[in-house]
Amino acid sequence: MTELALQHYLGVGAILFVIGLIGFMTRRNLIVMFLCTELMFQGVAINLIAFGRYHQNLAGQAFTVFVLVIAAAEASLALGLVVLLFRQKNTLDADAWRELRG
Amino acid sequence: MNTLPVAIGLPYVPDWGQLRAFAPELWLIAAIVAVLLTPFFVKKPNAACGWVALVGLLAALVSVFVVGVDGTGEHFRGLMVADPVSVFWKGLLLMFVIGIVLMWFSTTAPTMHQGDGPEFFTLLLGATLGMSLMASTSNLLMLVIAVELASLPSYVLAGFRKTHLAGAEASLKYILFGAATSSIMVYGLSMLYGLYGTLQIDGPGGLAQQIATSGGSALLWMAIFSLIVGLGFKISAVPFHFWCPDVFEGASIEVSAFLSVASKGAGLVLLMRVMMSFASAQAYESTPLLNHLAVLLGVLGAITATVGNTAAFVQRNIKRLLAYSSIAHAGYMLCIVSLLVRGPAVKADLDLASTAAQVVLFYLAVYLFMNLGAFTVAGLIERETGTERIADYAGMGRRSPLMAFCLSACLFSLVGLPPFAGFVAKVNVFWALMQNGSWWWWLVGVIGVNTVLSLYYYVRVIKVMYLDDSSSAPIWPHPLGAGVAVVCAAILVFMLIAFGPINRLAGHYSHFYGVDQTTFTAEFSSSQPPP
Repeated sequence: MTELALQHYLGVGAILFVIGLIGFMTRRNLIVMFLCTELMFQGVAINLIAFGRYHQNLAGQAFTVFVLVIAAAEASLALGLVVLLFRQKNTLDADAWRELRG
Repeated sequence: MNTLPVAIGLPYVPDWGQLRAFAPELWLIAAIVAVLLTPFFVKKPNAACGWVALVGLLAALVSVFVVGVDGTGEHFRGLMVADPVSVFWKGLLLMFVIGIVLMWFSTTAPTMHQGDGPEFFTLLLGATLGMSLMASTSNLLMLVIAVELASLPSYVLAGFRKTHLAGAEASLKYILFGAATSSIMVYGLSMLYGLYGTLQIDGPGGLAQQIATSGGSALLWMAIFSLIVGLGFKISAVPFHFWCPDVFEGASIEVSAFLSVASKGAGLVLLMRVMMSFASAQAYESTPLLNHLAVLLGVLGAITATVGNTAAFVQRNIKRLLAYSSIAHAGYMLCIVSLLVRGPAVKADLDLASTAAQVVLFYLAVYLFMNLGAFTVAGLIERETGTERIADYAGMGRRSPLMAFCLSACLFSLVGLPPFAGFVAKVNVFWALMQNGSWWWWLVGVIGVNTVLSLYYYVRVIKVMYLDDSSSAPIWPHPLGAGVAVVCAAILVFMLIAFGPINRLAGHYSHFYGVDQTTFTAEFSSSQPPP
């Protein structure tokens, strides 16, 4: 195990993804939650690049560029929304927003 | 890495024939640009933007009819297809969004902050563009882009009323759920790419065919599960439905109506396309993979319908009620999608896969008008009285007979009662499920029980409108909105009378590109490479 092989990259990708998923489900701070979805997307990006290298084609890298763009778009939307929410309730706690239920 | 110079050396320039098949999308893009430029020429741009969007949508709808189904199949090197199913969906979607814009004029337009119009219509048309692309994808990359193009504007639309607390909360819940499910979906798709080394779904060497030759594996199931998570979020299948009632309640009413049909329909059409590719590549034989997929989708549909209907019982808010009703209807349609991946029908001469696609398309067409009508009436009443509570609909039969009648028509149709087209749609569902036999009889039973359950909460609204009395003043709805509601009710009756031709039309359009639906085993097994 001296050389880096496909499974090492996949391992890092999976670890990033799982950390993001667990963080998303356990944390209640809005910014941290959106940060965790970013982590998940970065795990996907590492996966795709590793597979692209493994299969010797460019589809994986092309996909990664788009995944990064999508993650950035989602982050910009989310942070804009967080600013809007913070102005209204002065808190970043996701549990403060529970008027709609039933 | 010998593909790099090839990719750089040959820039891909699509010719006119390639672009022509996507004229509706190009019209939508043109409309987005026009809407963004409108405020430079008009002082008060809100209404003007509405008209520009309307013209763009009409042009796109006309181009759907003019271009029609394109026989050449795949486009842009296999990224997209323009096949009968996608054309049918685009026609429905554009008609529906035209209805939404008309609804906007009669409900939210007067209260919208002057200057917000361009943004609103840019987002609305952008989401529409994404939803029409979702029906044409045959590549995983295009699939992700289309889903996100539909999702991101929807998040903003849900919270468009910036000063409205409920709107902000709706947007928050929507984007939290959406970001998590879409990252799970993309992770699964990266696994699919890793397993088979291609992003193409259809065609020789595509994912579907490689899955057919190599059979199932744990990783493949993980990928399929995550794809269902991502699309289940768009369809609002249980257990990914939590956003749906909250978003519908918090968003302004035309946005709720838009999401209730367009988002779900696009997700269903995309799910149908992927499942159909898998099934046809395996020649519709009852392989373990297909059987498990069929059971998975059928059970998901049954649970979705049951949860939607039981949760609708206790709702006091008309938008939440319609949200749960839309979850239930998504469940019925998911049950039919499970037939797509099922082997040959009990009757050997029946093309079950095409029949299932036809049933879903017909259901979507009917569902569109029922929901548009119901939401329009709710929006008109909200505009005149400022209430969304069902209890405040008391005496509506006297206060506004026309609105009460239109809402009753749409609700009866949602139950599936005879004078309206919802009846035919429901009968189609039962009929298709019965053709398959075996344990699909359980689904027939579940949907039957669900229909009876749904009768209660739909009819409760009608009972409040006609039997409960109130001394509130009569309501004079906005004529444009009233027109939309009346047209919807009339179309529901018309579609019952003319269900034969419309059903045949749906059948005519129920074919996917690159998918052999009509011959089940003979030709397909011979075309597969020898082991």
